[in-house]
Amino acid sequence: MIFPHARPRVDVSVGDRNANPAGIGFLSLVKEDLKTHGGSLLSPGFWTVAVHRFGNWRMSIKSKPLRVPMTALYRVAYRGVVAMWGIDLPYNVKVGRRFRLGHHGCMVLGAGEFGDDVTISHSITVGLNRRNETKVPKIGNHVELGPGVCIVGGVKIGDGCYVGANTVVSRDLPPNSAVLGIPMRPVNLDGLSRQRRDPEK
Amino acid sequence: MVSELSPRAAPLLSQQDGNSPEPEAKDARTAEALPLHELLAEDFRTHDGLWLEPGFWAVAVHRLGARSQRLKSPVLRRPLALAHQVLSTGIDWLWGINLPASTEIGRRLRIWHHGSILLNARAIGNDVHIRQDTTLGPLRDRDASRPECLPVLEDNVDIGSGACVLGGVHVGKGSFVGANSVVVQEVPAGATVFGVPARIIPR
Repeated sequence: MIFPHARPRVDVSVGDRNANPAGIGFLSLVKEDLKTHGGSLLSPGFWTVAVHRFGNWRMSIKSKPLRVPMTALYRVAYRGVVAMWGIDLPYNVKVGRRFRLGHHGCMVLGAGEFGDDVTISHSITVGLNRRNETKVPKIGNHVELGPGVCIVGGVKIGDGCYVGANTVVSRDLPPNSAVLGIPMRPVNLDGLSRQRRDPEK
Repeated sequence: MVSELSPRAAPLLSQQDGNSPEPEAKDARTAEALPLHELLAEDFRTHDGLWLEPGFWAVAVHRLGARSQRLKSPVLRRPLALAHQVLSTGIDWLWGINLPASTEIGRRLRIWHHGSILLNARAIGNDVHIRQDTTLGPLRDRDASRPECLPVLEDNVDIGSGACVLGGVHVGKGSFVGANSVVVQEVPAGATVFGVPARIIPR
């Protein structure tokens, strides 16, 4: 190996093609993302996802001279998003439709795969477990990740899962499970949200 | 130890170390009842008189927004609401402190440091201290605009860095939430809670 400290080859797509969700055009996809983020142009999450979609869309331009300015624009926008809001979402991470980023700051989504209707919060890490490892997490549809969650290594999160705040996910989650804690444990969400304190006390 | 600090910090410290309550503590007026300039001066003192403290600006802009909502005349209210929107977005983008106008805050709220602070609560009491990476919000993202699904922090609550208080829970008076804890259940007054999910630590 020429560069012994080079980044390991990970199990994500190498980014040589347009990996945006199929069956929807670029503009309508961005419009849908804007709607997902409450229709607010001031939402950092919307701009991050829009830059990500743009980075993928430019890979559908086959002519290299036409693509070069788009690539330059994408890189500037990507670095801008990382510097401004601390959201690191490279274009070669596969992201499904209606991907919602609540708030911003310290979000490292460097590797992995996201399904449709995924909602995530700030301070989240989704990526590699340790150096020289190549397995990345795979996240299903309708998943919600709370703030501070770490999902590292080759774990699979099933559809409809809820991962509570500050949880470190260390093994695969079956569909529709809810977990919280370090080490993570199952949690009863309905029980928590029903619990109310007597206002008289 | 006091001699190592700046002369401006020394009277603040001696005031807090003594058993006598602070002069403001006798003042039982709510944040709404106080004139805006007194409120801002108090917030400035709470943030140790530091002009460049991000927490001070976040609280000050929130006060501006809360006051502008009360104005009857749209001639003044609309430009102030616009100014609040611009400034709060700037603070959110620059420092990552998101203190929505819907959160009702008490007096002398101290926000330490900045970054990933999201304070979508129903109400925050007086003399509350909040640190970086704190999240107050609903358990599920879809409940973000339902007040009964948002937490309430009572007076003198101290929140450690990285802590989350999620769902419609009350954090009782004078309680302490340890760093990186996740509170999803009621916290009684004066308790110390720690862990994910947070449990009461006996003293």
